[in-house]
Amino acid sequence: MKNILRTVSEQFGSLLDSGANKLDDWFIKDVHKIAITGLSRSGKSMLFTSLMTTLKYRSEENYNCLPLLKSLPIEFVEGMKLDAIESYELFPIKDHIQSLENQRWPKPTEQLYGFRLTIRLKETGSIKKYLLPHKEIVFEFLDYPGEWITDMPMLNKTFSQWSDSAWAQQMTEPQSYYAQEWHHFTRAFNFDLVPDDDSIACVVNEYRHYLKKSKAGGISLLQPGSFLISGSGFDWEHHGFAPLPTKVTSDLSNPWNKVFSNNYQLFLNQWLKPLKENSFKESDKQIILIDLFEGLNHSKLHLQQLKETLSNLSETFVYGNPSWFSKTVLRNTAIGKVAFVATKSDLIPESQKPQLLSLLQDITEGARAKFEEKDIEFDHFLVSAIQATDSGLSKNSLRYTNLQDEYIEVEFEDIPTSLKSMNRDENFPVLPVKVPKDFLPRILNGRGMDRLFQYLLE
Amino acid sequence: MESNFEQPTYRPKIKQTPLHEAQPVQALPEKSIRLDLDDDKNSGVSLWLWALGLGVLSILSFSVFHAIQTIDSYFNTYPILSSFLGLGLGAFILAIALLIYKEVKGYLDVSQFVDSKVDLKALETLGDRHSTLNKLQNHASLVSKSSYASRCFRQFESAINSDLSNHEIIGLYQSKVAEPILKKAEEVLKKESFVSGGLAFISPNTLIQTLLFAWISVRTLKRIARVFGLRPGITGNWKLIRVAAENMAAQSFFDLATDEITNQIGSSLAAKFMENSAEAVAAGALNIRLGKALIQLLNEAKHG
Ligand SMILES: Nc1nc2c(ncn2[C@@H]2O[C@H](COP(=O)(O)OP(=O)(O)OP(=O)(O)O)[C@@H](O)[C@H]2O)c(=O)[nH]1
Ligand SMILES: [Mg+2]
Repeated sequence: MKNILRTVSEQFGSLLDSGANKLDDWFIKDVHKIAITGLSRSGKSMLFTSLMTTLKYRSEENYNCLPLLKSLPIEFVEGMKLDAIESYELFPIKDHIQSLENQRWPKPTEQLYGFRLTIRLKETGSIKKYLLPHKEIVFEFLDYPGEWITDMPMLNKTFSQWSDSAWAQQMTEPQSYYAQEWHHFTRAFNFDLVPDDDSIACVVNEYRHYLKKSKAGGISLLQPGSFLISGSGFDWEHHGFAPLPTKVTSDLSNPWNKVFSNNYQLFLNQWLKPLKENSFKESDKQIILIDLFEGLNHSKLHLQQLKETLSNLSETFVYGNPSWFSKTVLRNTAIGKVAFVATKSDLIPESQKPQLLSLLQDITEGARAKFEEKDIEFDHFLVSAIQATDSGLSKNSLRYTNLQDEYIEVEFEDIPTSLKSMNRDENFPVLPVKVPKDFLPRILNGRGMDRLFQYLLE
Repeated sequence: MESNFEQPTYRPKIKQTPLHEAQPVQALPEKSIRLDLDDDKNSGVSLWLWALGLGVLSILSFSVFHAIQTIDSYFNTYPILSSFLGLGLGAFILAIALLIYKEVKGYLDVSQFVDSKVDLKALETLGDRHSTLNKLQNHASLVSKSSYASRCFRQFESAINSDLSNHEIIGLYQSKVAEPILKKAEEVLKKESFVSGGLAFISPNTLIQTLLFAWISVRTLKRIARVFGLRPGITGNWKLIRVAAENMAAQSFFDLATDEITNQIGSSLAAKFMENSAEAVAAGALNIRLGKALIQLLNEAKHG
């Protein structure tokens, strides 16, 4: 067992090296551009890590994983390889496996990674076998910090529009609790003073402080999320901005209003627009990862907000690049497919899965409404990239090892099946699960990945 | 505008209790088996077993017959002694009867196996996942443990988890059990038809040819049955021949001329191009029909 684990990351080394060879272009290629999006901490990087590991062990070692993935039958898979997409950095799969080996979760993503997974199938038809010996199925994926995606709707807003709506959100629960200090600061601050570098930095830092605090508090709608990521390509230290009280934004001659409007435009033009064009590339298949546990961990209001955030973002999710979408997908009468996925499904007992699925359907309601009349097919899925927990004594319980290495039995009350049925004063504290030592079998035994990818491939 | 909130408190809906044990270590998933795996170990022995069995049976019947005659003729002269002999003979016959009963049971097992065959389409429309799994497991329990079918079933079982719906379970059974078995059985049949055609081709006279054909047919049926996980006794084999023959008769006459059969012979046998090949083709075809009939009888795969 130990040996297997030790060689996991070494094997990925050889996988990466072989990617350096150019493919022979006369293979039939079946290219699937699958965009995987999700808010910060929704489980994107873990999903990629798990997908690659599972496919690798399935195709090279013949492990009986992903049984529902009929479009890629084990017996016809000849091999697979991973390489970088031009002009993107390669997904750090080795680092992620390394952290898992050290029983730590992969680090939050701080920059953009692109990669291509090529699966080579044996051709089975007899004549084709000689003419075209192989068929390749190619997946292209991008991984990036979830914070970036929350900023996309800002592209359709002016500074004052954005500022007013951000301000309104800060006044409502649950953000209002975390915004107290920031509000206190703005009330005391004199916005009639002419802004200089120091005072701008002071305001922006105060606002970032609020963003960080709310993020730690499980708030999903935080703009600009790019300010929280050091790898973001925008210099917020010199060209930062923050929402201003309405009395300031309504006064067009206010110097702060002018400076922040300018910086806001810079942010859109220099950072957000190029990001959107490069990262949310053409794709007719979308996986939207949703972490319901962050919301359940805090409160009904947090979940409510997650629902709103998803609804606001759904256009970014689905269209990525709207002109491309209407040109290619709609004209080709191809049907776009969207999969809403609740991740980390191993964090609840088996018996609660139907409830979780129904809660997921409730949370995506607003997002779905946006494209219901379009030619887009969608479905809901539960996935665990790793099966980190075990079943417990009763059907409503499970077991996990916490960060202090204690093995713990957890008894669950029923998960709400919709927002309505959740009580305001109740929550489901999220389990601080430590990566188990036997992470490899637990990744290979992950759930729901085969159903999800079969749906997208068929 | 003043917002002055307390840190909200919530009632947690989970209860945690530390355990005094370590987290169990999970096993890697099973490895998947390849179709080209061959598990025909004891081939060719059966003809000798047949001859031996029949010989032993005739010697036994003769001696029993003689014994009864002898006891009968001695009864008036030595009543006590012959009673003992009679008793011994009775016990012996009882033992034989027991053996025969066992064979009959094997014979019945074949029907039970065929009857327990699952109808995937029906399970799809009627069953819920629980009863589907029960049905499949019930059938698997009749499958001989070391067979190809049983290995396929183990693969299927290892892929089952509580997330799967009835529909998905049936799909998995189809792709992990029913289809591979069907494929394997067809492969075996192809190989056997080659042998049967070849035997018919080389055999010098009709009697030997007929005997060889009977032997190869039984062997074909047995091998196919074995792929499906059926390991019948000798009588079980007869039963198989009977059901297969019945099934064959029920098929349309034109089946004999179907492309599939001629293709199979054509691809496996060069006999077409040789003299005296008609008999070889006919023998091969008959064997294939017999085998196909049995496969049809045992197959569970949809559209199989
Ligand atoms: N139990 C369990 N926890 C998971 C699973 N997937 C993700 N997690 C947890 O969720 C955290 C976030 O997962 P990531 O994959 O890093 O999320 P991300 O979407 O890449 O996050 P960013 O890079 O910050 O946008 C991990 O650190 C794990 O604690 C899973 O399948 N099971
Ligand atoms: Mg990440």
